[in-house]
Amino acid sequence: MKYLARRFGFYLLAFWVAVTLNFLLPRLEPGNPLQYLQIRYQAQLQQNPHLLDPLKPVFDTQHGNILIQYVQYLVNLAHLNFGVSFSQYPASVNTIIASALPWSLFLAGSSAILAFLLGTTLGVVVAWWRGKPFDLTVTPLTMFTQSFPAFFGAMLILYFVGVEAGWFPLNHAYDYGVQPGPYIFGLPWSWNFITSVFSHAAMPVAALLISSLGGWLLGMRSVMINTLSEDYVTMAEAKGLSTLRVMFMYAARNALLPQVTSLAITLGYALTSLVLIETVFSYPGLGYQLVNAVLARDYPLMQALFFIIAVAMLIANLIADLTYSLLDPRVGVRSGAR
Amino acid sequence: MTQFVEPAAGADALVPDPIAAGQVVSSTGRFGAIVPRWVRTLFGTRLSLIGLIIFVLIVLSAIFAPLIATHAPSDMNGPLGAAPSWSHPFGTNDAGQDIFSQTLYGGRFSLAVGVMVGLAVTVLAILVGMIAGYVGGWLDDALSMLMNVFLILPGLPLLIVVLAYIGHAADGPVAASALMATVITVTGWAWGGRVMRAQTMSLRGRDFVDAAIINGESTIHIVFRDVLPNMLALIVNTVILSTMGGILAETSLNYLGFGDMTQVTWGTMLFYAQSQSVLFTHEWWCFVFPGCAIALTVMSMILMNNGVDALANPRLRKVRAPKPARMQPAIGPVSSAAGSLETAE
Repeated sequence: MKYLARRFGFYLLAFWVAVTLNFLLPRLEPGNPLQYLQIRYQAQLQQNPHLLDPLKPVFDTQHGNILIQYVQYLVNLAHLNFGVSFSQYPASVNTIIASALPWSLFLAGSSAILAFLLGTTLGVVVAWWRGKPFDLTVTPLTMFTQSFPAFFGAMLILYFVGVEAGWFPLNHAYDYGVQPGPYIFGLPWSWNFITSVFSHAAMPVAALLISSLGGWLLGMRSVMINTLSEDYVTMAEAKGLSTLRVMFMYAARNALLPQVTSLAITLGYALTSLVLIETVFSYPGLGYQLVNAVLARDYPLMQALFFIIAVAMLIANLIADLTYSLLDPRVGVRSGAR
Repeated sequence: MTQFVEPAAGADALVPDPIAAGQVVSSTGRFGAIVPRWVRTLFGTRLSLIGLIIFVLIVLSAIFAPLIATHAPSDMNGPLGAAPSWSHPFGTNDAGQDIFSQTLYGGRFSLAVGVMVGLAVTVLAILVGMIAGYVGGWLDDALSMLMNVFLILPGLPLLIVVLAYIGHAADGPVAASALMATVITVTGWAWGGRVMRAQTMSLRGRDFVDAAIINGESTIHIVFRDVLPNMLALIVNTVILSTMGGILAETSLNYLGFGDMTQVTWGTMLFYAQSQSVLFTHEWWCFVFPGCAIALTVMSMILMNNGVDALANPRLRKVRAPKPARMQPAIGPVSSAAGSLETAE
């Protein structure tokens, strides 16, 4: 329990740092962000002069007491009041996030699960036949793909698979002509819509998969190599059990623990690499919106997006922590003893 | 992704073994007398040597770009969007600029940012990590907390948001690269510090440190004269990986359009390629060559890093080492597996 309490305390602190950074960063800008917004978005302000009011606590860096502004900012945040987007006026920031978040979760989730399954399985196989030709080709290759610039990989896929071969649609999340169809449990179930969504997701997911596969493979390989030198594995082999059984039921099972927790963490990191991949494919998720918000200097939208992405990272890590302490009771004991 | 790649799982829990280092050195050629011993040690494997050679070639071609390049990087006198030919080996872009010359010059900015980040991150990581790991107590708690908070904040989005506010402040290539390197270092140094801390903690319990304490050596002397030299492999590791992280972060940010767009860098080349939709007009040479330059640089650094890894962690070597029979388990049931998580605490 003490372990969990400490972890919760840490996440609260990290949350507070993220929230406060969001408040302090506009103050780094030389000049006045509010003035900039007033000049750039005159047209929107003429339609609605109160547009800037919710932003004043954060972006009016010239007037007022910073502490009062901070409190006002926290109150706005507690009400999830992020104001109205300038670049996509008159949409509220909340509407934009609500439409972008599911796409990002879909991309990040499906690619993380695929990479976990594929990478872990390959890692087991590679560790088992360590030093054999398969290992000597696959392992260096994944070391390379792991650090391969993800956006360049995505551009290569977009060009060769999308433009030249023409196998998949080049951008967006689905064809705008397609009707989402009947909604059941809040999700659209029209066949055309689903196939459209999957064919649009294929290339972004592949790009994410390639960049994250290596981490799973190498992680599993190194833990697996340690596990393989354990006596019970030698024992299982000596008993004459089949290779597959020893490989997966004896060795891999015990090597899996650190991997399971990495799943949640990678989900968090995937949310950040999404920024690049979504931009390459113009995929309407959080990252794509963030890039466009920054390029248009749409400060309210940008701030809210950073907040959401940071919270997503925190939640993913928190889940990883909880899972680990559930799966491995030693974790709590070890730090509790300190 | 642009978050720095952490070293292979468990590498932080392992200690470079001076005896193992000796084994690699034995295969040195006639350069033995000139090159210092530790350089030979680090680049003693064939792959890391290949990586070093590629990296040195890339750096040299960036430094001597004015001598090699056939055109000025922003010279717009070429044909528009021409495919690779003898006069323009990498083709030209839609503005008539020579891609070959741009790729050579582009490396200057990207490599400069990378090297600055690599050195700054390493120095910061050594200072903070070693102080936290050696001194311990409340100072360790506070510094570890700081590092973990930095680690949990989403790296690339944070970089983007910071640059959104101050990215326009820089003027000229030197200021622009320094600003970018600073921002990348501040947001990305924490993983290095955490790795250094773990290593320091494991070395702190060794007999030679106790011996130094009993000898009455000062703490600073012990940390920098006794403990630090034992972390050489890890430090080189950190320099290489954080330089790589710096290059990847710089190219990603410039690709997204958040740097100084007037500079010719690998990242801005890709940005203009994307914004001029060369992908849809089949002008592949506009993005393939700068992209390959980034990929080749990264690959050379991974090769170098693997050589260092193999040195620091004998278990990663291809030749199966004899099983350390009864001694290994005594350290702990999940020593290296838990290493990554233990430090996360």
